[in-house]
Amino acid sequence: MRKSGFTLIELALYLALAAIVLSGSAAMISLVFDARIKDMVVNEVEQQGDLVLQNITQSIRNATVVNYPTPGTSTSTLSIDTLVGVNNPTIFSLSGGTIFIKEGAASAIALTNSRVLVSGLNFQNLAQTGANDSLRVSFVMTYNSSSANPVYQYSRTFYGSGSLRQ
Amino acid sequence: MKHVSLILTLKGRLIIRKKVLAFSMIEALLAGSLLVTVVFVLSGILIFGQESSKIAGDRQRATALAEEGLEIVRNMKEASFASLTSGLHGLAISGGKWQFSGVNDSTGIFTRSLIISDLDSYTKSVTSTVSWIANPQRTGLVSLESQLTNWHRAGTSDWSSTTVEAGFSADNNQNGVSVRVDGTYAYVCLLSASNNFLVVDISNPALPTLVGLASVTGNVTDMEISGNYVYLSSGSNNSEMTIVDVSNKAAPTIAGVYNASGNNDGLSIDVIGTTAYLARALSNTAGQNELYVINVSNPASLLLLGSYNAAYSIYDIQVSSDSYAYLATDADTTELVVLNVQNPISISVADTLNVVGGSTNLNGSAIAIFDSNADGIEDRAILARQSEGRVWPIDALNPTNVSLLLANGYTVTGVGANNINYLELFNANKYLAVATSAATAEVVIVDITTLLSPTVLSTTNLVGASNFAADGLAYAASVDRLLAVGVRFPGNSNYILEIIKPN
Repeated sequence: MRKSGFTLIELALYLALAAIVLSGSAAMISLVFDARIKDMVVNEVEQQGDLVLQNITQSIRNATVVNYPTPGTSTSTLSIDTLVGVNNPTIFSLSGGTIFIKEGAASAIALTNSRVLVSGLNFQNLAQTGANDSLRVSFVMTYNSSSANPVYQYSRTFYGSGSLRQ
Repeated sequence: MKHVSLILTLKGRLIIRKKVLAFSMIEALLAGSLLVTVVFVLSGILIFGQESSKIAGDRQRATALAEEGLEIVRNMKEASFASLTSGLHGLAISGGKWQFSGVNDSTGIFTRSLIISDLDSYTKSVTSTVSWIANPQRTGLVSLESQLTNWHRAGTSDWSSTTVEAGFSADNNQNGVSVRVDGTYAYVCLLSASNNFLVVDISNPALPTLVGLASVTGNVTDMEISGNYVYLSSGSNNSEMTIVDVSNKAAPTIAGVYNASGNNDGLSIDVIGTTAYLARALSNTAGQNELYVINVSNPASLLLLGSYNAAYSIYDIQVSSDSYAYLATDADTTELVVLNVQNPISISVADTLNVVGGSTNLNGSAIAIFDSNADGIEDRAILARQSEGRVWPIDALNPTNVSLLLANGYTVTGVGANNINYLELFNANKYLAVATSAATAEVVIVDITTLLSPTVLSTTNLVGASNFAADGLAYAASVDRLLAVGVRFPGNSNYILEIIKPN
């Protein structure tokens, strides 16, 4: 009985196949990581954006008075009064890419974290004549990353409106 | 793979020989394609996973925009329930307020449209729909519905009897001429003198309070609101039309004036969007026309679009949404004139109507138009003439062929042979309020649900009875009240504005 070894051709073929399999696996692993990062980036922006929008519009609906912007004007800061005296005025503002809420004399609390950057925060009072104040809030939220890699790039503009219930 | 060869040797012994062979091409292809399939499936899952995060985000933002639509309509409802006209609407910001505009509006990739429909007279259904193209194969759609109730009136208003709830006096000894309502503010103009334009807060109709004042030159005759501006016609020789900016209610300012050629008085005004229609008294001088169509999009720089030379004075003008102007004139044989003003450069007569029933040759004094078949275009008109206490319902479905619905009109009980000065429609055009010079029936509400057989619902004798004549009327939907202005009662109260409430 004689045992024959691999021929050179066979070895080359094995190596080539192994290379294909390995490079494929590597590409797939890279894709998995990219997808994971992109998913994280997208969710970070979408969820924080939605949270802030809900928070602000809900606060407007519950407000008793809008200090500014006055009807027909727009400002980058919103000041409202609420039913809770110590929280007056409640101010939403933008500083260093972070949206802050400041209730009464308490110190300002960040509503967004350092993973996102907010720009263009704008409040527009579009109330009808003789009706309650109606505010449109808009801002742009961008994922905060110094990387130029496209998977870290994600930016969305959020719009919402709230009218006072009185 | 091992191939086994059976070799028979010369000695008759059987040798079993094993041989290891390389992959065949088929096997390599099979393995490769399996790998590719696995890679494709996994990456597909990842890409779709990523896509679904984005779609979920888009959906959240679309929901916020749909909610915004409902919030805006709610806000518009607070100002005026009647402004929520049934149909398909888009939204646009104009003059610092949301307005209906077109049939949809776009924000980024999202397109929003609102559908408003009547559930009953006091309830409307609002559906806010936002759609977007998520990817070439998928269209996203979010639709939110809400129902809004006119709770100020809640369907309990009974106008079959009325009470004067409150009066408002001005201290410059002038008579009230015209009143218009925007939300919870009433604009009142007095005949002349300084501070003759008043902004009155009627949010508490029992206690109307003065908010702002302005002075308009000349004897003011009529007033109309469009956006943040109020347009007044007057007898001033240098400013037949005056535009008042009321964006700041506390400090209304004159935003512009229009001086029509000649000195004939401005008698009436109507404004559709950014086009004002100024009607004047007759002038026989060439070049001094009776109707002026003016682009008022920039009040500081008014632009004459066209004018029309009529052979009569125009006492009242109402322009329909399909650009026909209905005129109440002093012409003996054409008390009602319908002008086609679609092209202001060449205004033409669409039709005329000679009212001969009752007394002949009376001047037309007021006109109102409304939509009876819910197609958005006015198809009925009601004309009043001086000194006869009668209204004339008119079929205007075809503006080029208008006809009287009642050959002898409808005599409004209690008015007698007095002037009818103004017509105001309310309650979804089911009620017609008539401002008269009758001493004991200054305001009469006529039920015109069936236009062919109107009936008087109630008669209001304003405070200051025999001295008071109502010149203008406005229905305030926000508080469900009728506002009447007129000849000042020269007693203690000095009312120029009275607020009428249903009992």
